[in-house]
Amino acid sequence: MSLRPALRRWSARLTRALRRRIWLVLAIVLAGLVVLALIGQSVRNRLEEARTAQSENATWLVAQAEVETLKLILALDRVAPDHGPEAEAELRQAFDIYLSRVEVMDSYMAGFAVLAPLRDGEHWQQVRQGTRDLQQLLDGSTLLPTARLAEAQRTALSLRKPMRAFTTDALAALVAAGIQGRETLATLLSRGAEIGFALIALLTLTVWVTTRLSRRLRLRSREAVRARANLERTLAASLDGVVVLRPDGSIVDANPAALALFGMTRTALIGTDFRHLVPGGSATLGGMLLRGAATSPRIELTAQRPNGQRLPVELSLTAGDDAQGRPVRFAFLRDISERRSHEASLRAARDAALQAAEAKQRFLAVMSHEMRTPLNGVIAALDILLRTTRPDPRQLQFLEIAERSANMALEQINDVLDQARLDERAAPEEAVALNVTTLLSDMAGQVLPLAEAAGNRLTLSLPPPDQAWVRAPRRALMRVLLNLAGNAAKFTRGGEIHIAARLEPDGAQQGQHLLSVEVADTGIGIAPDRLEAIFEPFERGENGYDRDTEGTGLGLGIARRTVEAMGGRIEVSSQRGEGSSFRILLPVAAAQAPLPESRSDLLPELPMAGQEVLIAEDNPTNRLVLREMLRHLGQSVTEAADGAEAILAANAKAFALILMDISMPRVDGLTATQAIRSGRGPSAGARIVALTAHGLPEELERFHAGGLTEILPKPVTLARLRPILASLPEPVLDPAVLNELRALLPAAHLARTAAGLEAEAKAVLADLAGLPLAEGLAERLHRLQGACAMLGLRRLVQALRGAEAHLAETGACPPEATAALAALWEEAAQALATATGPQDGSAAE
Amino acid sequence: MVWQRRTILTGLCGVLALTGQTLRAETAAQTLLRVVPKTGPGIALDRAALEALPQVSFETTTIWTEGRIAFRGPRLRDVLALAGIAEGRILLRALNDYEVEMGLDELGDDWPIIATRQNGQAFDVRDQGPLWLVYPYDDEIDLSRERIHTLSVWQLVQVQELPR
Repeated sequence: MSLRPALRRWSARLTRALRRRIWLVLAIVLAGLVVLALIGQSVRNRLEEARTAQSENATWLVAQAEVETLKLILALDRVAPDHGPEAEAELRQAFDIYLSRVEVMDSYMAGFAVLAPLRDGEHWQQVRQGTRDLQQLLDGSTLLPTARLAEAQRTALSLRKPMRAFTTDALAALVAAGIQGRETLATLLSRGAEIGFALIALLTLTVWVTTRLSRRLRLRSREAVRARANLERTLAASLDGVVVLRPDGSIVDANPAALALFGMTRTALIGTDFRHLVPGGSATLGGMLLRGAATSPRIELTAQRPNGQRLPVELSLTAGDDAQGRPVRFAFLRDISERRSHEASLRAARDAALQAAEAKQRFLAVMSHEMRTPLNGVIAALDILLRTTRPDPRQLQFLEIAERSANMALEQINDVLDQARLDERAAPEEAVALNVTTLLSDMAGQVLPLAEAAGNRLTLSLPPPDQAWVRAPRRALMRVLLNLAGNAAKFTRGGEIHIAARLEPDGAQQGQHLLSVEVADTGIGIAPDRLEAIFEPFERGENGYDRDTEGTGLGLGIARRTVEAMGGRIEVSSQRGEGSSFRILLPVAAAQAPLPESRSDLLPELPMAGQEVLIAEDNPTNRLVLREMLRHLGQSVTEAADGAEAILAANAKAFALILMDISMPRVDGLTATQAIRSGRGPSAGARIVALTAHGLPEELERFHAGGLTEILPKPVTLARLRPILASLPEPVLDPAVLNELRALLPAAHLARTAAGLEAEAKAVLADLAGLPLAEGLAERLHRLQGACAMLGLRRLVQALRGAEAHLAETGACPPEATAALAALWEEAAQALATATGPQDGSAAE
Repeated sequence: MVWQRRTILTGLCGVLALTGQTLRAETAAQTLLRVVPKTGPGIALDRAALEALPQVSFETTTIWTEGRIAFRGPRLRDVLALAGIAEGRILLRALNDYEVEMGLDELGDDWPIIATRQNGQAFDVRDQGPLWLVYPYDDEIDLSRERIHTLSVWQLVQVQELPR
């Protein structure tokens, strides 16, 4: 409860109120003064009345009336005993004086309000009556008879009482009037004093408020002066040019920065039309000056100096009034030539960087294609040799060396491309369930030949396979491990390489493991000051390293970045001449061992059906290799050397599968695919698989968008082809089987066989539809199935097998299955009729 | 002696006239006022002597009478001058022995007058006469009201210079 702030608040409120009502206050003061003047006048009147002192005179008069009455009685007493003329003269004088006093008293009372009521009062009337009686008795004759004197004496004596009473009443009235007069005066005086005091208080308050206001005004004006001075100083020191101008553009004032900006003296600048100084934007500027606002917060214009030099400026505009209240505009100008040049150089730098990045992308794409295509050819060719021929052990050894070398070369290229991908922060590879022990064993198998070639012994210590399931990105992890083990093999001669893996639960997180893999060797080691540098791209141990070793110089850099991208780290320790030890520490999620793959297909697998396959591939080597692989798998192959040929071929024949290379001359794979799909050719619905050598992610996206959803990465191997072929729908009629039959049987025989089949099939299908089932139907069904298989009606055979199994199991065949069989038969009969038609028959003969 | 003669006269007048007052006042050269200086013999003035002096008249109301009355008579100053009284103090005496002192510095230029007539008529004791020292009561006079009332001597009979 502090008093001062409350007082200050109160005084502020009072000041505000008074300031608003100053006229009211003045009116109150004026009214007060008028009332005071009236009271003063009234008091003056009262005082004047007091000065006339009628009451005192009245007292005297009243007293004299009684005195003269007594004097008259005394005079009558003196006359009575000896009645002489002298005594009578005294009596008459006393009576005259008495009479005079009574008359004066009467007149006086008529004109004096205080006593006026007494004039008609009983006592005074008695006095008047007695006086009139006395006048009758005493006036008239000289030497009054004794009887009249006695009568006069009695009358005079009888006057004493009423006169006394009158006197008493009059004096009392006078006293009361005096008191009342004094009280009235006192009241008037105190009222006057009150009003005077109030007025003085009000005036004091007004003076106080006025003083306060004037002090505040003084403070405010001082503040304004100071603010103005500060503003002027600020403007003078401002690095931006400030120009004050009229809405018509004439310049009123300018600060030093503006003078410097326009290269003009103050006298030259003032009065100049501002629009002439910015010739480029004078039209728009005119409108903005009139409106007092710019079209945007900052506009860029070109200013011109008197010497013709032009410079870019940035302008912002605001409106205000000058001291006389006339509208003015404030233009703020900034020389932005330096900023412009910065911007230009930044743009150039950015363009250069973009060009460089583009060049790199182009280089990578070219490298990816131009280098890997031939390599893929080599690998595929070796694959065919190894899988489809029976080389002697010596040949086999060389083939395997060639295959390994080719794979290694491909791996190096992929490493370079991976480096580029990491640069672009591509999405990391997805984690899959994998077995650490199996992975490391496979890895060791790959490294073993290299290690043994240098006379090294390779040992492993791995966790038991059933406890080694984790989730991790397989390819990335494999590459890192291969890199480390490869390095160890490369830099060790006649020594030992030990690979040890441990999988420990991560204490901090449930379901998390910490995988640590150590690759230690007894090789040449690394100098301590190089321990960090070896992880830099294109860094190698030292010159001595390179003489008898090979390497891209990318490996360790990629390895470290890959491990770090997976949330782990690589540690290294090494002793020159004694060996090195690299250790990967990687957090991995624990995983369940996947269930062994179960064979869901209960039916015995048919040998792979021969289908029509189109190869679109511009590289002759790759085309040849691909063709041989497909033929080895029993497929009927058509070749196209580019997209255009592929479109033609697809429009001529129905293909079950089209293998489409992406980059081809004339028409590329993507365009060709779209043409085939959108066309009405027999292959519009064919399965199309893209062939590509490790494409960049954005390329894969482009393929997807273009309708190539299925991708077969190069190098193509038999192992990769097989599942694709196996997943194709069964053909209605296997062309390979029919071709064999054609070669074996004369056309007429074949036609007869087909006709016999048709009759039997219709009979069996009819019996299947009827109920109860005919005797021996299952037997006939089985025979029909055999006949169909012999003619290569694969889809029908499959359906018949299903029906037979169903019949054996339930003793019936559901109507919908029978209907499906009938439909399939129609399809098969059509295909058979086409294949064994008269033209084909004549051609065979 | 004055009283005796006056009494006789009054008696005669009362016999002769219907309205005795006026008759009595106008019949004889009776002494109405005595003026007594400090030194030397006093003078006695009758109506004729008083009315022979320069006359001043004015009309005024008084608190003792009703209506406006035109008073006429010589200035007190002139009457005093007759007896060689020009400064100091005087004692005024009335018929009923009322006495009041007055300084000559209290005299105005034209007042008070020793009124001998009201509305042109002489007036007697019953009307505060025959001499009444009056002032122009309705005008602003440089004396307080009480003082004026005190100095308005009725039935004036003598003026006496007081020793210093």
